[in-house]
Amino acid sequence: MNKKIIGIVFGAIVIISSVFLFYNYAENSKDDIGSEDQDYTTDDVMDEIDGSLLGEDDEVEIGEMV
Amino acid sequence: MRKMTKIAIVLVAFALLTQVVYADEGENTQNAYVDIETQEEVEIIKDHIGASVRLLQLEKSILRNIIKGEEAVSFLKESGYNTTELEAILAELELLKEEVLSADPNSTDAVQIFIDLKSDAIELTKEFRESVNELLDEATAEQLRLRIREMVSEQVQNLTKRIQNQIRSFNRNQLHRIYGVIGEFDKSTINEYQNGNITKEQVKNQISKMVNNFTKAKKYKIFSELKEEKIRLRVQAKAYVENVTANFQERKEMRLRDRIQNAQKIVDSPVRAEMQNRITVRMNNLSAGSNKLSDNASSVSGNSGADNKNAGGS
Repeated sequence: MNKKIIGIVFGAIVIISSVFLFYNYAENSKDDIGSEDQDYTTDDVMDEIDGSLLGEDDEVEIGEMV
Repeated sequence: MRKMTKIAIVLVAFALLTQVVYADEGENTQNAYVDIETQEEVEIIKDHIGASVRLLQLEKSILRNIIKGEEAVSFLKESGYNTTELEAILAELELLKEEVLSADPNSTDAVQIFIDLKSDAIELTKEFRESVNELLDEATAEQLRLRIREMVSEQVQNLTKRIQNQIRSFNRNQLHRIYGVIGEFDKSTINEYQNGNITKEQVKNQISKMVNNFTKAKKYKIFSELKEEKIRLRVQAKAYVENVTANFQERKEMRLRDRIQNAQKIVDSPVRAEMQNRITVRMNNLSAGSNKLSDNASSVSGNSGADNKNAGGS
């Protein structure tokens, strides 16, 4: 009887944890990449393109001398 | 019954740990030695052009700081201050610039080289700034800041042109990939951009007009492919940075040793002696930090106790 209870508790913990992890993973993936249903504008695409290109005035910051 | 309770506690602890580990993965964490900005910068060091861009940008920042530092030294000399310490820092920055110049962008260790040398540049700049601030009151420091802010140097301008050319080459490769994702290749636009006949903004405007006519599904496809590539590069950069962190202190100690050797070629002997002395102090601090680290690691598990003095942040 006790073993059964432990088994049920263990199973419940594993299932709940797995469901929680999967739910969070799916939500994060949606946030990162989105889904096809979402309305993508030209601006969204252009933001990604802009992020792939370097600015010609970009600098490596090492701080000021004074 | 007691055994059952123990098992239940272990299971609950396991479940909680799973959540903690998951939460940690989602965060954009700052490495002990490498700041977030640098982590983002190394994302483009996936080929020799990206590495070349970052090394040239670092060289330019160091060169500009040397020129400003020299101006600061002459300003302080005019006011009768002893500038040996500042000159020693500038001499080390000069050696560091040579190290950046001799770095090979084709090296498989390009990420490590960039991170190490940038970290040294930040440290030396900070030391110079702090030494100047110790000498001057705020009003005089502001006067000096104004004097060096608008300084123009031909050397820096030449470097800026070389960097722009390299960035155009880098962006040309990126545009090849982007047009590949879009599925409509425009070679003439890429060539015009590469030759400097049109700007990045003009290229973007042309692409924007093209994308505007696409269906929602196609826009999604382009967006997700570009996003996936960005995430892939970010993950790769994070892995590189983790690797680089492993022997950070040991590599720094080796660089400082080499620099003491290279200091022999500095003609001004008080400056040379000051520089060698400063490097020796830093090496001793490093060793002390390493010992402290290993003590901490053995007494406090889970706390790295990293010496943030040498961290990449400015």
